[in-house]
Amino acid sequence: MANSIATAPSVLAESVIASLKGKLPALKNFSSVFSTLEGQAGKTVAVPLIGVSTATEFGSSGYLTQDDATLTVANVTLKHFKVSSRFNPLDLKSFGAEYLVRAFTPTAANAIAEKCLAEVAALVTVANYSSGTNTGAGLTYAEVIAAKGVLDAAKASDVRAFVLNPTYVNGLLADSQIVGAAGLGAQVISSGQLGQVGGANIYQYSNLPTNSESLAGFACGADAIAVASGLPMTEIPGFEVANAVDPDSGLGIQIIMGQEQSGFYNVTATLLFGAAVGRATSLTRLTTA
Amino acid sequence: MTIEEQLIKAASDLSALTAERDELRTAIEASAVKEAKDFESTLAKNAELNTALETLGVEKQGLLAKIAELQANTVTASVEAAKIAASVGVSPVELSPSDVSVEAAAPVNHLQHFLSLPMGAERSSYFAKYKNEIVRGI
Repeated sequence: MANSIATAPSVLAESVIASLKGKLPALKNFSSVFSTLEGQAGKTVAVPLIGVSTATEFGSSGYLTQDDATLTVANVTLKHFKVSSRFNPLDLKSFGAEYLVRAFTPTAANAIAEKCLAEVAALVTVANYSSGTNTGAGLTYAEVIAAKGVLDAAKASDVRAFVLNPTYVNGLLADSQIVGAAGLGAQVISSGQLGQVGGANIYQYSNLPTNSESLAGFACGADAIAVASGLPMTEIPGFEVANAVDPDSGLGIQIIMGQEQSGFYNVTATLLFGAAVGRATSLTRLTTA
Repeated sequence: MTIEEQLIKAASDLSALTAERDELRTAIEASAVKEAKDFESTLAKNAELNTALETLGVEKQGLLAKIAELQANTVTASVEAAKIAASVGVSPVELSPSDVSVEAAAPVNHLQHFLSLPMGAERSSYFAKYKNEIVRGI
C-alpha cells in the first residue's frame, strides 16, 4: 500500500456509508433518531413518533397546551451489528488499496443493510400489528388502494410506504392499471421502479421474512415503526478506527482496520441499530394466506 | 637565325610590349577614376550617416526626457495613493514584484484534502466528487 493503512478506514467508512444509504431508502419512511454518538449494545434511544398535529386557536391558556395528542415516543434498544472481512496482505500489495475498497464496500453495505432491514421486518407480526389483509399470491393496484384506505382510517401519519417482497412488487409491475396509466406507464416499464403508488413509496425487500405468518408485505405510516442508530465505542490497540455519516439521515458507520498477528488485514464495518413498534394501528400487514 | 631575322623578331616583340604597356596604362587610369568616384560616394554616405546619427541623438534626448517625466508621474501617483491610504487609516504597504508573480498551481492531493475535512456533508460531498482519486491515494 502506498500510504499507511491509517488513511484507509476513513476512505472505507465514507465509501460504505455512501453505498449503505442507497440500500436503506425505506428507513426514511420511519420515525428515526440516527446519530454518530458512541454507545454500546443495550443502549436505549427514545424516538419521537411522527404524529398528526391539530392546530388550535390561541386562547387564555396561551401556549401551555398540547395540541398533538399523538406525539409519543418509542424506546428503541440498540443492537451491535458488524461485518468483518480478512484480506491477504499479498493481495493488497498486488492490487493496491483500490482493491480493498472495491471488494469490501459492497459486501459490507449489503450485509449491514440486510441486518437492519431484518430488524424492522421482524417486528411486523400479528402480535405487534393486528391489522392485516389476505391479499393472496399477488398484489394488485386495487389492493394497494384498499391498504391505503386502512391507513387513512387509522390516521397513520405521512410519509406512507409499502414494503413488499419481490412477488408482490412484480404483481404491481404487471398490473394493467399501473403500466397502462398514461405518463406513468412508460417510466415504470423502462425502469422497473414503481416509485409512488397511491401516494405511498413502494420498496422491494427481497428477503422479507414471512415471520411464519405468511407475511408478503406491509403498508405503514411514518409513526408505525421507530428506528435508531449509533456507533460503538471502539478502542483496539494497533487498529485504526474511522466514522462516516450520511448527512441526509444522520445514519453512521464505523470502520475498524488493523493487521492481525497472522498478517491478514482485518476490516470491520459496524454500527448500533435498533427498531421498535411505534403506533400499532399505523401499519397493516399484507399476507398470502 | 640570321641578324636580319633577329632584328625583325626584336622589333615585333617591342611592338607587342608597347601595346601591352598601353593597355595597362589605360586600365590603371580607369581604375584611378573608379576609385576616385567610390571615394566620393563613401564621403557622401558618411555625411548621411553623420546626419542620421545627429537626428537619433536628438530623438534619444527626447525619449529620455519622456521617461523621466513618466517616472516623475509614477512617484506622484504612489504618493497620492499613500495619502489616500493614510486618510482612511491604512498604512500603505510597498508592493514588491514577487507579490504579483503567478506561481504554477500545485497538483491537488485529494486524499489529504478529504482527510482534512470534518465528518459530515462537506466530506461526503467531496468524497462523492473525487472518489476515484481519493481511493487511489491510499
